[in-house]
Amino acid sequence: MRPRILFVIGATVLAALVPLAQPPIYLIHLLFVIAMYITMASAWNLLGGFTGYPSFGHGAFFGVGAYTTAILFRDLGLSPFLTAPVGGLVAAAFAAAVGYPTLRLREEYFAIATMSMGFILQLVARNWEFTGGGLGLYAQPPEGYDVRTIKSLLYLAMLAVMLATLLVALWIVRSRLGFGLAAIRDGEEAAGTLGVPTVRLKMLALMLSTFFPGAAGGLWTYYITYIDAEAVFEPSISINVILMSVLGGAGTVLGPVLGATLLVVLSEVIEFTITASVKLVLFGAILMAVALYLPRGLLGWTGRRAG
Amino acid sequence: MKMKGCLLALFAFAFGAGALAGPAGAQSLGKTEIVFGGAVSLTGPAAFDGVYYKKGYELWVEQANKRGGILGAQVKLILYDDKSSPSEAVSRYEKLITVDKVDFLLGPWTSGITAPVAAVAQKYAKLFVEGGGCAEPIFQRGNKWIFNTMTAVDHQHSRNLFEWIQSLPADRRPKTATLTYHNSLWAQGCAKGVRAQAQEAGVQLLLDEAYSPTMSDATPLVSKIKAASPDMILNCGYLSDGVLIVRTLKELKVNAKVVWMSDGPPNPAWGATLGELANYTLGTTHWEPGVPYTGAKELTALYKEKFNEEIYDKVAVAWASLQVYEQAIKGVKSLDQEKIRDYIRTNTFDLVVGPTRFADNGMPTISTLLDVQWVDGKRVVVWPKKDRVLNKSIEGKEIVFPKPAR
Amino acid sequence: MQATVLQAVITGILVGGIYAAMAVGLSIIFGVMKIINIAHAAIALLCAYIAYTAFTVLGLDPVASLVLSIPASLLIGGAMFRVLVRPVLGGPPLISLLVLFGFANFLEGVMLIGWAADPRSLTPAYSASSLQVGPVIFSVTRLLGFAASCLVVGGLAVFLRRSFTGRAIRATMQDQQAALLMGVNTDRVSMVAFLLGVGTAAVGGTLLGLIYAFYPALHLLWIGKLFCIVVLGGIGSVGGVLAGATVLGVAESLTATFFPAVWAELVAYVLLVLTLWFRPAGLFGRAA
Repeated sequence: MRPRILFVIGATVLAALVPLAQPPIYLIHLLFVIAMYITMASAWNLLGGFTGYPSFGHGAFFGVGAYTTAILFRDLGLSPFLTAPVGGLVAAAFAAAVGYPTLRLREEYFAIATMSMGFILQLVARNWEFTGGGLGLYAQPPEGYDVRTIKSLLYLAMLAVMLATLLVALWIVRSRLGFGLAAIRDGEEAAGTLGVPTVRLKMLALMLSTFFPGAAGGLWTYYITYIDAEAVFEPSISINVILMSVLGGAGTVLGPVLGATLLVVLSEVIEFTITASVKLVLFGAILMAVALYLPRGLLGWTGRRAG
Repeated sequence: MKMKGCLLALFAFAFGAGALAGPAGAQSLGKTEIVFGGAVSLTGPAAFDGVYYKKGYELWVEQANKRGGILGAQVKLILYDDKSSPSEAVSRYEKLITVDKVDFLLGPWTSGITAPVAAVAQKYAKLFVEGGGCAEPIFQRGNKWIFNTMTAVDHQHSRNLFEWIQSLPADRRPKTATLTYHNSLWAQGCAKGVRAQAQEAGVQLLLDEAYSPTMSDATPLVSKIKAASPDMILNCGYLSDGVLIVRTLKELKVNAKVVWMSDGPPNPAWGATLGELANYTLGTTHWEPGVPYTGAKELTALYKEKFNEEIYDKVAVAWASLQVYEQAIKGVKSLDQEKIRDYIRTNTFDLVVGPTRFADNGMPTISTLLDVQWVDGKRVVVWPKKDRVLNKSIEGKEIVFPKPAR
Repeated sequence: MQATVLQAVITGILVGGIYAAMAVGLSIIFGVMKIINIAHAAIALLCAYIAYTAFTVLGLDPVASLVLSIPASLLIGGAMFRVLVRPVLGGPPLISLLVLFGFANFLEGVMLIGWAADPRSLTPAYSASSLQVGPVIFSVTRLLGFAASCLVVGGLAVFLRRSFTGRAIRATMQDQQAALLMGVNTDRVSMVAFLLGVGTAAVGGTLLGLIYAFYPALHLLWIGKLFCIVVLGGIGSVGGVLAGATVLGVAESLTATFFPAVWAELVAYVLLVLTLWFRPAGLFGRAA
C-alpha cells in the first residue's frame, strides 16, 4: 500500500516538472488529456469497480462541471481555476439528487438509467437558453498571457485534481468505507442484513465519484476555450471511461491509471495516422475483447482487488 | 470530445523545425514554401457545402502554383475534415497551429464552427481570413485577427426578399409568414434579421420556432406551419434540413405563395436532390457566375474545366480568402502576421466577390447578396436587378410569384 | 386545434407501430436470456443503410430490400450469438453490456466508413406522397411502415403462441429452470430468440429509415427509445411492447406539436427514467 502512495505522488511530481523543460505544446496537451482521463476513470471506478454500480453516463458529470464553470465565467467573470471545484460540487449535487432513486436499480437497469441521464443532460444543455443553447459557451483566457503558460497552468491544475482523486481512491481501499463498498458489490442484500448502511455508503461513493469528473470538466472549459453540448456530453466520453477502468482492472486503484494512459496514447496514435471512424471500430473491438477475454483487466489479473 | 497529441509529435516537431529552417529558395521571402491550412466539413451534415470549400481552396492553390507561387514560393495546402463538429474543428486547428505549424489559416464552413475556431486563432495571434462564417457575434469579440470574405452579415440575408416585397403594390404583398430556423449561430442571426425586416414590411410572423440541428423528422414542425396557413414559408437553415422540410411540406400538402430558404437552394445539390420539388423555391447566395466583378467569368470557366460541374458561391468566397492573403503577402513582401494584418486593414482588395475594404471588425464593407429561384431545374437570379457595388445590371428573371400550388 | 391533436395522435400511433417492430426483438432477447442487447439499434440502423445502398445502387425498393437485409441481419445475429453472446450468458450483466456496446460502436464505425456521417434518406417514389382522410393526412411511408410492422409483430405473436419453439421461448421467459426440466433445449431456444430479435430489428430499421433521415450516430438515440418501450411495456410481453411503443410514439408527437419540437427527443429518456424509478415492472409486465 505505501509503495502505491509513493508511486502516485512521485509520478505526479515528475509529471508536474515536464513544462519546465519547454517541451512542444503538444506534449503538454497529451499529458493534460491523460491526466484528465485518469481522473475520470478512477472516479468512475469508485462507483463502478469498488461498489459494483457501473454508470454508463459518467461523462454527464464532466459536462455538468464544464457548463458550470462556463456559466460562472460568463455571468460572474470568475476564473475557472477558482470555479472548477464548484463544477465538481454541482456535479455531485446533481448526482445526489438523481442518485437516490437510481441506486436502487439492478445493475443493468442502473446502466440504462445512467446512460439516459447523460442524454437528457445533453438535450437540455443544447436547447436551454441559460446554457447557451445551440451556440455553446466561451471561456477565453485573458489576453496578454501566452498560450504555453496558460496550458501549463491548467495542466498543473489538472494534475492536482488527478492526484486528489487517486489519493481518495487509495484511502478508500484501506478504509471501512472501502470494505463496506466491497460488501455491497459482492452481495448487497447480505451486506444490508449484516448491518452495512448500504444507502449511505452508496450515496457517498456516488458523490465522490462525480465530484472529480465535474472538477475536471470545469478545467476543460478554460483549456478548450469553447464548449457545446455535443462536445462535453458526448457518449464516447462515458464509454471510454468504462473501457479504461475495465481494461486496466476495475476495482483496483492503479488499473484505471494504466487503462487511461494506454487508451489515450493509442487514441492519439490512431487519429494521427488513420481516421476516426477506424478508431471507433478499433475501440469497439477492444471493448469486446476485454469484456470477453480480460474481464478482470490487466491489473486485476496480477494485482490485488480493493477491499 | 476528441483526444489529440502523440509522442510522434516530438519527431514531427524536429522535422518541422528543420524544414522551416531550410535553405533560402525564394529571394523575397527566404522560404521555398508557404503553407495554408484549415479544416472543412467533408463529412457530416455540413458536408454538402464543405466540399465546395475544399475544391475552391485546391483550385486556387493549383492556379497559384502554375503562376510560380507567391513571390516565388510554392503554395502548399493542408486540409482536415472537421466532421461538421465545432469541437472537432477546434482540435484540428490546434493541431494545424501547434504541430503542422502552418503559415496561414483558412476558414471552415458554418458560423457555428468558425466562431470557436476564430477564438483559437485569436489565442495564438494568427491571421484568419475566412469565407465560411458571417454571423455578427463572431466579429464582436474584439478579435483583431479575423477577416471575412462573405460580403454579407447574418441578419442581412433576408434583405433582398423584403426589398422585393416592398417593391410590390400593396395589395399584392404577402401579409403573413412562418419563420423556422436551425438552432445554430448563423441561423439565429439570420432569423433576427427576418424578424426585424418582417416588422418593417408589415408582415406578421405566425410561427417563430427553432429546430434541432439533428432533426431527422420535420413532421411536427411542418404540422405547425400547416396549421398557421401562411402566405410565406421562411426558413433560416442549411441544405440537409431545408431538403427535409421541403419534402415534408409536400408530404403534408402544405402550400404557400413564397417558400424561401436562406441557404440550401443556391447549392446545385438542392435541385439534384429535390428534383421537381425544388421548383420555385427561393434562396439567398453570396455570388453567382453572372456578377460583374473581376475574375468571376474566369473562375466559372476554370472551375468547370477542372471539376466538370456547375460552380457555387462557396467556391468563390473560398477563392476570395486566398486572394486576400496573396495580395497582402505581395503587398508587404513578408509572412509576418502583424504586418499582413495591418496591410489588410488599410487597403482595398479587388476580389472575385467584389471590390472591398475591410471594416474595423473584419467584415467586408460591401454587401453583395443575391436571391435566386429554381425554375424548371435551373437556378436564376431574381433580386436585386443591379449589383449594389458597381450598380451594373445583373442578368436575371422575374420572381415567379405566387408559387403554383401542388 | 382538434384537427391538430388528431393528426398528432395518428402520426404518433403510426410511428409507434414501427418502434414496436424494432422493440419487440429487444424485449424477447431480454426476456429469454436476461441480456440487454444494447447493439439492437445499431443492427437496425445497419439494415437501413443496406436498404439505402440497395436503393441507390440497384434501384430496389426499401421494402423489397428486406430480402437482402433480413438474411444479412440473421447472419450477423448468428455470428453475434456464437462469438459474443453465448460466452457471457449467465455472467455479470456489466460484461454482456460491455460486449454488446463494444459491438454497437464497432458497427457504428463500420457504418461511418461505409457511408460517412452525411444524413441519408430512403426516397422511393412514394416517399413524399400522402393520403388525406378528412382533416388528417396519412403519409404513405408511415402507413406502409405501420402495416409492415403490424405484420411482423402479429406474425411474431402468432409464432410465440402457436408454434412449439414459440411456446418453448415463452416458457423459458417465464422460468428458465422449469423449462429446462421440461426438456426445453434452452440453448437452442436462446439462439432462436436472438435471431428472431435481430431479424425484427432489421425490419424495424428499414422502415424507420423510410421515415427519418439517418446517420451512424443515430443508433444511440434509437436505443434510448427502444429501452423506454421495453421498460414501459414490461419484459417479454408482445402486447406490452405494442402498448409501450404507442404510448411513446403519441407522447413524442404531442410534445413536438405543443412545445418546440426539439423537446420531443427528450420524451423517451424521461419516460424511461421515471418508469425505472417508480414502476420498474412497467405498465404491463410481470415483476422483473
